Amino acid sequence: MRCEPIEKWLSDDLDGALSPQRKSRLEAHLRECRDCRGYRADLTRLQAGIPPSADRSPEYWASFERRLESKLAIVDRARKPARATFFAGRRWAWAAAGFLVMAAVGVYFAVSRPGGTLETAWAPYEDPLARLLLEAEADPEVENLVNRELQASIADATPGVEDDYAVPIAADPLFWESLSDAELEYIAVELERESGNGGLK
Amino acid sequence: MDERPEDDLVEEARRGGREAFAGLVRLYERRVYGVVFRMAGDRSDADDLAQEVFLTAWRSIASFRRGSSFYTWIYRIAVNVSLTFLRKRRREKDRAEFQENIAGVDTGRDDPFSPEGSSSRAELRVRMDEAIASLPGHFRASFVLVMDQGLSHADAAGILGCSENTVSWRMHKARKILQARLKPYLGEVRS
Repeated sequence: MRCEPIEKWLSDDLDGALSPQRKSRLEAHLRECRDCRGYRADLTRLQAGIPPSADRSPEYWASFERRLESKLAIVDRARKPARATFFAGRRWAWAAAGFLVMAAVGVYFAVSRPGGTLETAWAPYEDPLARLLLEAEADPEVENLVNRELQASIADATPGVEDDYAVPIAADPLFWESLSDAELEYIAVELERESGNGGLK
Repeated sequence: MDERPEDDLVEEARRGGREAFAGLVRLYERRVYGVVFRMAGDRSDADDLAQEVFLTAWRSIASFRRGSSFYTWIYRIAVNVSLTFLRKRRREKDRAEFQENIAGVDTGRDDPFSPEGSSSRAELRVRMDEAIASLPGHFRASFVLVMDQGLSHADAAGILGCSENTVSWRMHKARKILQARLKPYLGEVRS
């Protein structure tokens, strides 16, 4: 019998996967074949020489589980927004609804709140003046009185023009000090000309 | 520690129960780690991969079919995550080697299977790790599930989505490759 199938049977035998019938034929072959006996010895040594899987300490496994747990939590957090797409897909509708609610609340407080309406909010200031203007139209004396009062109140509220320009520029000594001799001479000529003296000679 | 039966934990986890899922993690973390460690050949990578396996399981546990075996399912995820990782690492390694070749850089690395040096059993184990890590991905997956996790060919076939014969053939080829690569060390150990 050729040795090639026997080598495969040897491998199966080591894995416990060889049928009893083949196992007896294998044993018969091995009794006669020195090479195959040598090969089986090598495989047995190989099997024995395989290092055990690297086991780790209990601390390692505790750390392993902690790290995995935190990663699983991240996976779960990433999943949740996907479940919320029903709401996310209608975010414009939700925003519009929110806007409408805010507008309704605003109108309620502006118009329907107890104790007044939008009109009553400004009427106390508008009504007396309107009533006075109507009376002024009917009575010229009242009209004059009203006009005087209005002009006086406008004058009180308007800043005085004279207040801003009360100090003439010529009264500022710095103005004269900042001028050159030529400029001073020019001013003197102009002043004399205005006063009819004909200027400097 | 959650002492409920595994089926109850699975059912509650399917409904979003994270505490129940944590119970499943505690049940399977060592086995999952064993698979991805052997597949990746590195503790740091194995740590990342094991976390990735359980994250993937949590994301898709709602689609886990009731009545099927949770361990088959979680092993399948572990193997798929590992194979994806190996493909990615292979691409990165190829790219790095390509750039090294262009630059004419001598990496100065020794032949990992040189028999020189220590011939002790510890040396064999180191070489064994390297040899297992050099197996093609699907061979390694079969090897890890059967040799490391002690699964039958039928269970490994269920996880890997192939026939028992395929697992049997891959195991035979994986052993042939390892035996050929480690022959010098096996001889020294023998003597």
